[in-house]
Amino acid sequence: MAPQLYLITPADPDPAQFPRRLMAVLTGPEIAALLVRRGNLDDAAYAEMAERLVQIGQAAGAAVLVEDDVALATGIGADGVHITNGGLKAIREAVSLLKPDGIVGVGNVRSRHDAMSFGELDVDYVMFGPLGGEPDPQAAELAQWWAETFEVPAVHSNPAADVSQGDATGAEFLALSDCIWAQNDPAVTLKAFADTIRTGA
Amino acid sequence: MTWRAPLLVLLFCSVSSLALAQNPADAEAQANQAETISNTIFGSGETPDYAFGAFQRGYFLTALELALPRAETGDAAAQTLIAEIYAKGLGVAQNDERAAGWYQLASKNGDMLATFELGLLYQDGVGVPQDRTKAAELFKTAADKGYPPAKYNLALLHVEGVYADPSLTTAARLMQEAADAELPEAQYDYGSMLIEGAGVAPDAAEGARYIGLAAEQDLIAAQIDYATLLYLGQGIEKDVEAAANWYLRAAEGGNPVAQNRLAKLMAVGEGTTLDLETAAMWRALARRQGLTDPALDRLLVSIPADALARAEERARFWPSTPPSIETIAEIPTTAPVYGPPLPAPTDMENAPSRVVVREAGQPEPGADTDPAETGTTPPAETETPPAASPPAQNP
Repeated sequence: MAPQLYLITPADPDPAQFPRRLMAVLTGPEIAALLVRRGNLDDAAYAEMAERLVQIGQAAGAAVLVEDDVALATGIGADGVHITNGGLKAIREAVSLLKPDGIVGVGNVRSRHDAMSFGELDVDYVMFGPLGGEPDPQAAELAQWWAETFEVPAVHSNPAADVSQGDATGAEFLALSDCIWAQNDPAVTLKAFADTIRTGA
Repeated sequence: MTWRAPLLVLLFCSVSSLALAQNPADAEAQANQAETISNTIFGSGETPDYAFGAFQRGYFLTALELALPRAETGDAAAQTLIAEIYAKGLGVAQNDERAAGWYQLASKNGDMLATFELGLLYQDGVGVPQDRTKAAELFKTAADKGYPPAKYNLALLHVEGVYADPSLTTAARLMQEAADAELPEAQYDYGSMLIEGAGVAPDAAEGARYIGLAAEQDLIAAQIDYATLLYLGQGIEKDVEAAANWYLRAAEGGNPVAQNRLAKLMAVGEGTTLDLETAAMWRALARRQGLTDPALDRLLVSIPADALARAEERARFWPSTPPSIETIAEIPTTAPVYGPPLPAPTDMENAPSRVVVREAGQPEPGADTDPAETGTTPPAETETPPAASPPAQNP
């Protein structure tokens, strides 16, 4: 089964330009979820950016997630949170506050033991690999193992994904970030990805 | 009483070594010494598996802690160990999903036990979605690596012929390999295949031998079959007494069929002494599990009412004996004592010296007030039984 696409915004988006750019990208292939990355934004800037992107993402039919901040997610009407900091405690808290209406996903999985501990907490997905920057060499292997064994969906995040390769891990979602935004025309690159994974590469 | 002396010496030795072990440096020295001894015996090629050592001794949480870092770096043995801990809930809450995850990793790293266990999980849908095709693949992988239980399960799949190609000859070959690895279920099934000629040339003698091997390993179904073969003399020399013995073993294991057949043999005294009461007891036990047999009832029709009542009573308390039957046959005798008579434990002189009756004006022995006086008060002076005297009180 071809994975669905999961889009992660860049680390330092230009507040003036990025929303327009995102709109252009979202006119292309269907995106299952959009994660607004905190990157190096401060709280106020992140809240403002997230609020704008929630509108754009939801208009395009994607579920929009924000990083860690449950209060922000409910405040701006986002679909859920992606927890990277705070470990089990933060995940439990987010699950109790957002479920069953909202989405709670976890990332920052450093070991198999972590993955299993997180995966038991009634989360909606477990993400393997970093949100951006250098790809994690172990992520693909972990994602494959997870997808084969557990029922909780896996997200394989590969910031250096290669258009011609697609995703061979069997994870339910493929998360794309820097490899899209580094291109001159992200929309075309994303389209190419969608074509590659649909043809089952 | 001379034998006591070496015992005491031993006791002191062990106490002193315990005290030594509490000193960390000494403990380490001891551990090193133990390792040296282990290396001289087993060769020094293998590094000890501390996690497994802890597991074997029942320190499951320690084992988990030691195995986790190794498992994260891809050590298959450690991953299997963690999977076992979670699968059986040893020291942690049982968690089939987690067990499946670790088995999966260990299996990928080439551990055949993990591959087999993962196959079982897929077969039954425990911790993973049920997928019998995948289970068959995993059994095949583990069987190819030579794991006997996997060969047995794969053989069964070949007999079933849905998830592996239907082939009795392949099944028989695998079954034989598993049987030769002394897996009782495989010995029994392969013996049955030999007798029926399923996938192999029929060989009643060899079949009986395999079933006998499985019976020796306490597989109840094999014990009953073996007893029947012995009774009928099929593939083996007829031996009614041995047959009765095997029925007895299976009956004691709680099998109603064996209990019923043993009762029949006992009711007619074939291969065993005729004992209507015990036969009726076995009949009652088999009936309790839902097996009634008119043929046996006819054999027991002449049993006296009181014997029948005793049999029912015995069945009620089986495998113990009813309290109405005196089980202590004789009082164990003690060896005759030569020399002066030893004090009996109930002698007044052996009474604890702490409870000493104090006469008026005499200071309490053991009190710190007058050490000289204390020394002169022998504990043996206690003449009055403690129960009849008021307890000693502090001044």
